[in-house]
Amino acid sequence: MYSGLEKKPVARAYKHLLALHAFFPIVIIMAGLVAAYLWLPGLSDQVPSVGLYFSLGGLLALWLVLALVWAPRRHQVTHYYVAEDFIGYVVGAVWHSEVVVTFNRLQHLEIAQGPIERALGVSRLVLYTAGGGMADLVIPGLPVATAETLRDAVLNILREETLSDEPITEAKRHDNA
Amino acid sequence: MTMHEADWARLPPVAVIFFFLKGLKQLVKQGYQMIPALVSIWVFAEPVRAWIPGMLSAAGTLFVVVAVVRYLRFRYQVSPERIRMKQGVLKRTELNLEMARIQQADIQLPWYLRPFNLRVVRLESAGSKSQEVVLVGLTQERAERIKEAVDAASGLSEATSASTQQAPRSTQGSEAFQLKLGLAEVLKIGLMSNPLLVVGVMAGFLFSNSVTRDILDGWLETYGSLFSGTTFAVVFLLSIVVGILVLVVLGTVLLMANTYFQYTLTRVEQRYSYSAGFLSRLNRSFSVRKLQGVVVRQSFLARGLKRFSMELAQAGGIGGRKERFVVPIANQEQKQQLLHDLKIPPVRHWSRLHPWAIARWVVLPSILLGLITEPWLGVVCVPVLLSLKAVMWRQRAWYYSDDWLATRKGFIGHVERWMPSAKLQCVRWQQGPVQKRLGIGHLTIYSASVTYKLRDIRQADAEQLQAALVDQTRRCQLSWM
Repeated sequence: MYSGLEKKPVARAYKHLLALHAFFPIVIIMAGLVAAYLWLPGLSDQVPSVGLYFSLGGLLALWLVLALVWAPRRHQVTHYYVAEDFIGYVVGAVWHSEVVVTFNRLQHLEIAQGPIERALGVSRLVLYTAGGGMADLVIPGLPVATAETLRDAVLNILREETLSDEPITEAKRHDNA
Repeated sequence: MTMHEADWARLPPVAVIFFFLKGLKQLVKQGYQMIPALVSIWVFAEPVRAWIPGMLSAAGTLFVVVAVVRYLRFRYQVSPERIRMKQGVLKRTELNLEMARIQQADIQLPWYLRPFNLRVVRLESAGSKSQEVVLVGLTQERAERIKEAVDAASGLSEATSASTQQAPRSTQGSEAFQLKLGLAEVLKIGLMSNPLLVVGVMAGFLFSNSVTRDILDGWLETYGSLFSGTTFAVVFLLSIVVGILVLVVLGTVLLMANTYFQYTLTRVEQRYSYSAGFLSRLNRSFSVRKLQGVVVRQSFLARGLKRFSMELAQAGGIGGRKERFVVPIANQEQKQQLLHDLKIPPVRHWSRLHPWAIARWVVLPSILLGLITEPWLGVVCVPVLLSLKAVMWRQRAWYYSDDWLATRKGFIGHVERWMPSAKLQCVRWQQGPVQKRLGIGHLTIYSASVTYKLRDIRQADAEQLQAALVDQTRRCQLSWM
């Protein structure tokens, strides 16, 4: 929604990360199918082996579509922007989502990295506020150096921030009669 | 900074009652799962039966001993900056609670401390992992002093704390706001909490599935055979049912009246507090600066009574019902007065959601119903669901002024929620493919207490609202907590 700000893309490796993320559940389903076919009594008598091959082929084709169409498209639209006092993250080509958090509401932030992310040299920047309970803004697929620079920049802003002690909410003040 | 061990205070001996009752509560809460096992032991293991009285008395003694040890291991320490608490028998824990982080301070006079005229102080901190300090058996004076320390830490003006120190009990006349509930109003609270609805749901459940229905049928048959005439049997049964209903309603009414007896809400400077209760009395207070939202509810029956219930919500917001700061009943005028006191503006124009919201979740449930039961039922389901959703759509709306965001929803009852705009934590915009074509989407606004979900609002409105909220929050360098 903030069109004036520079859209910063995430790393190219995020594409591969998405493809791999889609791969694992599909492999598990494929393994489940094979196991069921081999060991479930009566299944191999009722369903010819061609059926199994077709299902496995279908799943592989699904993965190929996800890896070759969905992942690049999602990578293409995924971006974030950083303004002076807020940060936003945009994701999703079909189901679009955008999150904005202002720096003065941040509770804490962290950089997270799973084994696959480590292998691909990317990490996630996770920002927490007091709302909702879960992580509020997660920017995935950031090159490690970028994530660290971004984190340091945000921390710097937080360090320099001086919140006044004056409250936001106040009940009516009556003049003492 | 470091305090000596000698500074740690102990609670008076009567506090043992509290630890005993707390243990009892825990036992009931967790122990009922053991009932089937215990019953089966009783039934099947005959040789064990002789041992049961002995085992029971041993368990009882152990229970009392644990309560006493828990009491003996409890220590606390109050300083102007923080309150510390050490407790636990096997697992020792030490809790440090900053005074400034405390959002709600309760002074209770529970029934078991009435003869001793002693109080319980309950302090609760903010955050999703909210912490609680409970100090049992303090004198009124000591309890007030702790509460004053909390007041002072939560940024009340020097003048106020000084004046309350001089005359802690004589705040009459200095209230900026007051709301009192008479007995007639307090008796209505129980009616508003829909006791009949609970009975209705239970009855609905009994007749909804075949298993309970069969049991019920069998039971009714044996019941019928006890009487010679059908009319008498029916009248007798009806009077039993009506009797139970009356008892349920009466019970709820009395329970609520006991909790909220002589409810008085006052505001002195920037601090609201209410006191209420018959058997046990409670004085609860919190500072307006910690307010994260206001909720105004009207249940089905409350609508008939032309009454509302209100809640001043704090961070966390997930806490149990018992810990909420509530106005259990208020008429239109009182509601307006409190909203006015909180500087909540009157709504000039509620913004509706896009009519697409009515069509959502209509087709799929109808198809499913048609597939599971009869196709014609699925067809009938469509207009029924549509009209229900149209009613709900008419109730759903949002409002934004410079300082407040409000949402409203309801079907039979009615809920209105208000958030101070600058207390926004995070905002999320979501749009699916159909919504994109219609130029609408969901805007979810997270506060530290409740989440406000504006479903199917126009993209232009959402963009404007999001920009306004973000702009207001980022420029606001005031304390939100």
